[in-house]
Amino acid sequence: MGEDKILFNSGILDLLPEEIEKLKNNPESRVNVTPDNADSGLAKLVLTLIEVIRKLVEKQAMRRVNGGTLTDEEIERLGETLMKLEMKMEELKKHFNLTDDDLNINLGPLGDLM
Amino acid sequence: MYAILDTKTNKCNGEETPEWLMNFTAGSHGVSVPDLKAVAYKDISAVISDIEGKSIVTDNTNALCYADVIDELFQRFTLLPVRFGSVMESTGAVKKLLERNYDEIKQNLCIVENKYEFGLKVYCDTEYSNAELKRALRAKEEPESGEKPGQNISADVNANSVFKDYLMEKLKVYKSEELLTMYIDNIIEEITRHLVPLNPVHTQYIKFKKIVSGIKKSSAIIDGVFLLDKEQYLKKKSVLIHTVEDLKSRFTISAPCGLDFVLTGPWPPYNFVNITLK
Repeated sequence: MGEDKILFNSGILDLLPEEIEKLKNNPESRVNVTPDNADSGLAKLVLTLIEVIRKLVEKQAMRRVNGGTLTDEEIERLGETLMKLEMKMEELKKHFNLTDDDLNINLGPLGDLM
Repeated sequence: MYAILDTKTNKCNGEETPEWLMNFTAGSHGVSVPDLKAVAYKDISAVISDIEGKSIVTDNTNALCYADVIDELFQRFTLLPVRFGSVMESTGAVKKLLERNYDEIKQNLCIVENKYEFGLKVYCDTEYSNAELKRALRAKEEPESGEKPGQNISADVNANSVFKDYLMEKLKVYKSEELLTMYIDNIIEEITRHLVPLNPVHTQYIKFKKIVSGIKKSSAIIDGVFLLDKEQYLKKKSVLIHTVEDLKSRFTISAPCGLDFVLTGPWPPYNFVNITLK
């Protein structure tokens, strides 16, 4: 972006070159699939997608809980389901040696994926 | 293909490089080949580089070159920018595309005619605002009645359930995100209120995208774009800048956590083209 396009900057853009450099040099911000690590590279990609969907499901569930339309039994079941889903994700992450940060791809100026 | 222009006033008679474009291209460089050409249909034209037989690398240099061509065109014409990497088989295919989508293109050109696009990003710096939000959340959770989140859930059934506790924790996170959304909504409302006087009849030309992913250091929370009339901007550039300065100082007072504002432009109307090409 040309300097002439910046009409007002209250200071944050001064950090931009540093942030861009970090992104460029951060291998974790990319899905790195090579013949040697095809399994874990693909797992990272697939688990990222699953995690996004799981978070969406969770959010929708919270909306319903907050809305107060669920019975105690439904709440109990929902809690159990969400907990088990999260535990299963943890298991998968552990299996593929991945952390939460690995699945939270950095989208640069847009922020993190999740 | 770089952009589609309204050539009604630009004397285009269907030739490949009309006079107006020839004058324009002196000194400019297209992607892969230096010359630009125009493909015309009725009173609209697509500006292209004829790269037949060449392959294009989608790298930084070409992307910037592409944006530069659009930017230079945009200094002189009302246009619809085309997305980087839009390549068609032949000039005939470009012409057919203009023909098939003529009405939509004209409608879109009409919306952006003599308008500049500006970007306004708001960044929230910090852990401070996280603490602020938590405080606000606690206040919301504990009104006089002493209600807790999820108070609608009966306490006597499965009182010791781990599942229910788990759900309550999740609900807290959900509520804090909701609060953040409300906080962002308030900021958007304030920004809109400030921008509207600059362009009173065009509130539909202000778009905001909320980014709610939990506040982290220096993360963008609002990505706004708006259109302003070219002439009005040229006359009132300082008013626009002052408006954003004013917003910044207002939020510095009301939210000492410090919101950062970045105003950029003028840009071609990248965010106000709404066509599904047929």
